Amino acid sequence: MGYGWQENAIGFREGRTALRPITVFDSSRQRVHTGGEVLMDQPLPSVRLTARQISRLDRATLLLLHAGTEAMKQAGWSEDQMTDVPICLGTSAGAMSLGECYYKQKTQQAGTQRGLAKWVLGYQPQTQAQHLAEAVGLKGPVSIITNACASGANAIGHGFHLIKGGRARRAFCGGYDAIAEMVFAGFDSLQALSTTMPRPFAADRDGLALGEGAALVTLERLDDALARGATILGEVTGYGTSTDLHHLTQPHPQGDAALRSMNEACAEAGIGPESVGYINSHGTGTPLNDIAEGSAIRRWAGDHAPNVCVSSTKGAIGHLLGGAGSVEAVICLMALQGGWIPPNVPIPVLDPVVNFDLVQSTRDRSFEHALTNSFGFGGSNATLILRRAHCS
Amino acid sequence: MSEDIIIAGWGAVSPAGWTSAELADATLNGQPLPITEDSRGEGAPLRRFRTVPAQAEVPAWMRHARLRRSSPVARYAVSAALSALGDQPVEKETLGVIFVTMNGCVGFSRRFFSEVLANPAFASPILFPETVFNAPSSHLSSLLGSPAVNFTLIGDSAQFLGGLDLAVQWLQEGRVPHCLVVASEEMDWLSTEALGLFPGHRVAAEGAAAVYLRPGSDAGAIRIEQITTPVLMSGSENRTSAALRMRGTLSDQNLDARTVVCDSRCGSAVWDRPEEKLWAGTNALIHSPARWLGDSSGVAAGWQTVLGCELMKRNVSDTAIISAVGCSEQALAAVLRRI
Repeated sequence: MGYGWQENAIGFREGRTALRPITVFDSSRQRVHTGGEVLMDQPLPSVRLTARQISRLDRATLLLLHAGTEAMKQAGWSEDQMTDVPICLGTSAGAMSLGECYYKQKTQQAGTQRGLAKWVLGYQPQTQAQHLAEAVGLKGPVSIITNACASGANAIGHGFHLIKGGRARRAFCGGYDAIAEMVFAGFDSLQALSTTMPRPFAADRDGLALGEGAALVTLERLDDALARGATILGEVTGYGTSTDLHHLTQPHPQGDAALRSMNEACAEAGIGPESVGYINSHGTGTPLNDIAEGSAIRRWAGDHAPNVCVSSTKGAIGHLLGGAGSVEAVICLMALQGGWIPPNVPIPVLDPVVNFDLVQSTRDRSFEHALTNSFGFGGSNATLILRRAHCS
Repeated sequence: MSEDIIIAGWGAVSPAGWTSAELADATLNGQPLPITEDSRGEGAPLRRFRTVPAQAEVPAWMRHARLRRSSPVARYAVSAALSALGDQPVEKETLGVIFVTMNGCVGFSRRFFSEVLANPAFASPILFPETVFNAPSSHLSSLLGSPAVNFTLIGDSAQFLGGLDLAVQWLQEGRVPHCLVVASEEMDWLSTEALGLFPGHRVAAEGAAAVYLRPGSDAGAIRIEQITTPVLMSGSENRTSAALRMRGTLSDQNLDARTVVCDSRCGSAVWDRPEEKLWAGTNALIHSPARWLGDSSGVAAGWQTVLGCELMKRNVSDTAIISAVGCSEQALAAVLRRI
């Protein structure tokens, strides 16, 4: 959709679609040739890395740094406030493209060692986290959560609990992933990719589009933010998780685990369905996900379901895997702050599971609480509740 | 820590065998286990490694549908986790799971990517899901029947202690009443040759480690007394300075003869330098499992933790300090004490 809060907020509000031909690898032998690829046409903002370090960064790390530097700039934390801030990151594949380079050289030129060590190091997610820490001037402990497509939401939820539990005063959290050949081919092998266009909650949906991106948020105690006069973008008020035991890649058809995650998050936030003004659904557009999540939303909302506004933004930017949960949380913050609901792609014929209000064109509406779902391979489920900021 | 969290069980899989007792025996024995040397040929470098010995019988848990085509990472993890749970009466439906790895399911990833490069149309949909980092922990939760929170953490060879710290957090916050922390790695030429790219001639190893945590104060149990804040290596903070800073943050600096330090030295002068003198000047016993078993990447600090538990169980010591100086990311330590 673009770089930065402003460009993304405008794009999601207008319901733009940002799917385009894949260029990061040769997709000619794949069934699918489009995805939510980021146009890397913006220079990296000023960071505390050397030119040599920057020249070695892979695509995923660059996305991470773009988002990370913007978040830190927005936060306006002083050097004192940055001491020992924990970094909580979610990713599904890290710098997979470097791992691919390593494998290719190992199999095509088995005896050549030159350049391999930097790929091996760069591939590891902890290296990407170290680059981020160094780039923005943080030195705190790093947690890298790889709960597949729930990773980004888990990272924010984990940071939220670190602060809520008194283990940290601030936290720097989010998720990222870049399009890589292996992962793309993997989703295609499962026939999870749409060969047309992703249409979450459509009766005739045929799969998802893969995308890439990153979002990071700076979390701190409300009192601290108020005391320093920070611009508060929103509050995290609830976080729920669950593990779907049904199958490694298929959710329970009635959404049992999804429901558990939503209930847990709402319980922590102290709210019920009637208080949630918008759900940014996981909404991949695969037949199995949408029926499970739709069923979970129906069960969660009960009689209130027709009043619950739901959309999936994956029709616009694709599925960002480890970045999805955090990017979608930020979309919720944009919507809460702007007083609008981002639309789902238009759906001529809805899946019968949809008895809620699937928002298909931008709706101006002020609301208090947003809920965002992230469900991943392995049955990793996470739900975040975000609240509109009242003080800034 | 506000509430006592105890390690109520532990398990390990290593080149020494499928039990934590064998891991401890091999370490106390102080003799390196045999090393396998091999090369793929065509100019590929020589690999030096130690693998987990084959089991005499297929364990009953392998009948679980999820494990039929699972990776060695998953199988080692399950074995260690079930050993940690033992025959204790555990309400498995509420069990939190934290899985730690550095390399993950390398074998399936390599196989799948080779199929993609050959012809993506024939790349196996059976392999791909098993390549995902959290597949082993998903299998474990499924086997145990627990829909509770399940995290997979990626990090360097010290990360197991980060997993331990997260488990303590969950237990103290009441998110779960009990929790498993499991680390696992598997042997594959792709990762073993990667290890050879770095100085030190380290010997690669595979296996798993697991501990079962719950609140408690049972006599003879092992209490987690302290887990230090990880010192992040980056920029000016190298392994040596990170190790020193870690050492300085330990609450108890007077280590007597009833204390054992389980450190991360592996027998390579280059890699061992940060810890070579870290514990000098104390009366503590020092043991280094990686020296005899090999470099197990994300499992390393797990083996150290299991060794510490074993030595306290055997009454060799009352306190164990797990000194984890990671290979590239962080240095941290844990203090475990027998109640």
